[in-house]
Amino acid sequence: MSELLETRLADLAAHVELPPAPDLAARVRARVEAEPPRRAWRLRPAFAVPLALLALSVGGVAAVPSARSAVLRWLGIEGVRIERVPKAPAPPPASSPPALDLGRRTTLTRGTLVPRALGRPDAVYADGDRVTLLYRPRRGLPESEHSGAGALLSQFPGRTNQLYVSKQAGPGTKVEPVRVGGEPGFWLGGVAHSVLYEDPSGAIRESRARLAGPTLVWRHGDRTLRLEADVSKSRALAIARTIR
Amino acid sequence: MVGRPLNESELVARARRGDLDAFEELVREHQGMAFRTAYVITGSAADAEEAAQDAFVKAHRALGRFREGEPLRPWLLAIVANEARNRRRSAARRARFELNLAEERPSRDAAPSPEAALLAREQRARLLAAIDTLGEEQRQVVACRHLLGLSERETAAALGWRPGTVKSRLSRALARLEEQL
Repeated sequence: MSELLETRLADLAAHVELPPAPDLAARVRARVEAEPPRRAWRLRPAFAVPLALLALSVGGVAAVPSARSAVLRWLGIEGVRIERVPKAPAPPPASSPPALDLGRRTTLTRGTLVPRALGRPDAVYADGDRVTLLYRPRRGLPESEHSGAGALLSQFPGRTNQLYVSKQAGPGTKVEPVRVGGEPGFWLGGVAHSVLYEDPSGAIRESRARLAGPTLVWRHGDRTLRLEADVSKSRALAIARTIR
Repeated sequence: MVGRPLNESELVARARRGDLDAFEELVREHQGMAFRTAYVITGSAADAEEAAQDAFVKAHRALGRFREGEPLRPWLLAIVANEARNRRRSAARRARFELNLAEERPSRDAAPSPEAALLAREQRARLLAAIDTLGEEQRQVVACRHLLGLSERETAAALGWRPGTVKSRLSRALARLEEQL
């Protein structure tokens, strides 16, 4: 648009007349007052369940969201914190995609949980108490644009005060409470959320944040599991139920 | 009340807790834009008034779903626009919103010469006539963005289009205005 047109439109805006706006406030108020009383809002129903659950199970994982942060709501299970943030986390700059920080390469050991639906992993990594199984993309496990893997399954001790994973979910990310084999969990679908792993020293480092696609986190006995794969919720639940 | 006036997010937080004074204040703050946007969509002042009023009542019911920290206006305008479009669909005759030039008010600035004032008025009338030759969608997008001063996001919410559509229709509309002037 030329500067002249822009100036003329601005000038027109100052001189154009629309029908006068009526004062609606009193009428709207009267109608709102006449509405039947309802429960206080505060939480959407989807969040009411996890928060109740949280009170039972979370222990000292996280305290109340600090007023200074933009965090709106948070919920989680042991070792995992899920925060609601007002804006979808921005993808990292293309020039420096964060490396998948899974720890050192290791081998399957006794006691490591493996989902029968996926079979033996293509690689195993360990970072302190956290063990991650990596499955390369294959049929039914499309390559994730965020991790490059077909599926990542992390496991770490639950019932501790240590925070292993922190997730930030923007408005476009769906966070749904689910049950896996009777245990509580959350499904994060929709728009990618950001995920931060705590490093072994206990500090959450922003620089290690990366985006993650659909993810299921749930409690499994004394452990917390996290499955990240570009699959539907029902498929993720089906995989989760084959873990032993 | 003593002290500084509450800002919008404080008003929203109070309204969510059931504070009707706070909600009424939000209505006062946004009713002008809500009405004008509804008018651009329905083309009828009576329909626009009803649409805006119903939209505020619905917005009050839906406040629990509003994400704190987000700007309120696009959210409100989406509700208003939805009400307005429903009325437009059911209206027997589709009205086109009318834009008229306001009567000249004596300006507090150095008054231009009568000739200059006349010239300015003629120019405005010509621009307005050019806008009126545009198709309805282009007229709406020009009105929302340049006459009501809505942001691209607010315009997208008001017209129910994607932001990319707002951009492309607006640029085509402006190109046509350039040609005509």
